[in-house]
Amino acid sequence: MNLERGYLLVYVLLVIALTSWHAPLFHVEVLLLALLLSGEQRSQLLRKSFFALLLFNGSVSLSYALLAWWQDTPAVEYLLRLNLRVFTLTYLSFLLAARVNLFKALSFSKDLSYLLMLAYAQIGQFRQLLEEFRLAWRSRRLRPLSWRQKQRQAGAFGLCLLDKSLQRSEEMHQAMRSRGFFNDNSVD
Amino acid sequence: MHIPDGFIAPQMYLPAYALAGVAWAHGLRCLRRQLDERRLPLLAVLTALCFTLSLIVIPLPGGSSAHANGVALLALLFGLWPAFIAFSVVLLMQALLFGDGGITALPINALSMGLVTAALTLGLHKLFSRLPKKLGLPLAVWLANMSAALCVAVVLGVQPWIAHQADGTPLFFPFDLSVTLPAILLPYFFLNIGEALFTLMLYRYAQRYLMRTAAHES
Repeated sequence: MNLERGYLLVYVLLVIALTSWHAPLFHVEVLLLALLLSGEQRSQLLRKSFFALLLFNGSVSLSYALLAWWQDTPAVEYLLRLNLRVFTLTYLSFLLAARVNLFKALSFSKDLSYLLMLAYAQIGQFRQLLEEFRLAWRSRRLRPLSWRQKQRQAGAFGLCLLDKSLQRSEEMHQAMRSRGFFNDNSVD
Repeated sequence: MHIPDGFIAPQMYLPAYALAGVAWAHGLRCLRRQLDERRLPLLAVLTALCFTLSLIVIPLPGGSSAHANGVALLALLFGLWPAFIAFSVVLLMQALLFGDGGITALPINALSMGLVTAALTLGLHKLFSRLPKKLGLPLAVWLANMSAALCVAVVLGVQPWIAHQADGTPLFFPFDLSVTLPAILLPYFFLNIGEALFTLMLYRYAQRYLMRTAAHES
């Protein structure tokens, strides 16, 4: 087992432990340990975790707090436990992504490994394309778009993306074939 | 729907992993039989396409907007298992590489939004084949996506029942079905109209493209 896979296993075991054991002290200990291991990335990971949770966690916590206030029931203990657990788990996920090469960690299957690498590289290009489209549309309009125009815009981008996907798939196939990929590496 | 870690009880996500594991193994076995030099890059770009489609904002009447997930489109174009596997890989990448959605919600989203949506889209599309294409296809996509939303609403809504303290205080997601069903299904009733129309538009274009390519190759 490579080191990356070991870290992934520890992460999975911690996720199961944190969702099975509800003592807040245990969650605090794991969070403190994760903060300690984060080094210089600590503040960046804290910020990322906070913003990643803001919408879902914030809305659930606020709704629960309002309901508890309305029904005159205690909410502090539940909210503390829930938010501590969710924050610790999210922080651990970001720490894992920052510290561990997930492509190596998931390399137990060649299929999955190739698929992840190819898809990840492709996502980068598609995101770039999305950003270019967004900037192009922004630079070409004087007034806000109407609903129908926005609908057409989303459709046009979807079609462009589909077009590009089929083209890229063919290009990748040609590239892999020309390099003898399937002769040297039989996909398991 | 990106549910962070910590809202789903292990009593739910561990069996969901077991179930999804069976589906993933079967899906990969089906794909592996066909995983040749054409299928592997195709599946990779489909995964990337699925991920990027989820970044496209579809405007809805009234000023709101929805995000496409592309599963129905992938199922219609490439079949059940490629769509399911591609969407599962998207969820894995979102959870582990981009920190979007939790690893505990992954099997639930994969089964509901991936498998259920893809299977129902194909089944209902066949069932509605006698209806005009402009009506039958969006209706199938809408119903399939609503079913997925229903699954997610039920999974979240049963959390207070399956994991709570002795005094009844919930341990995970706090609201029951009386809250989750309307809170999820009502907005998705409208959001899925956008997804259905978007899928219809892309599907018709893709079909023309694929037919043109096939004619060109032959």
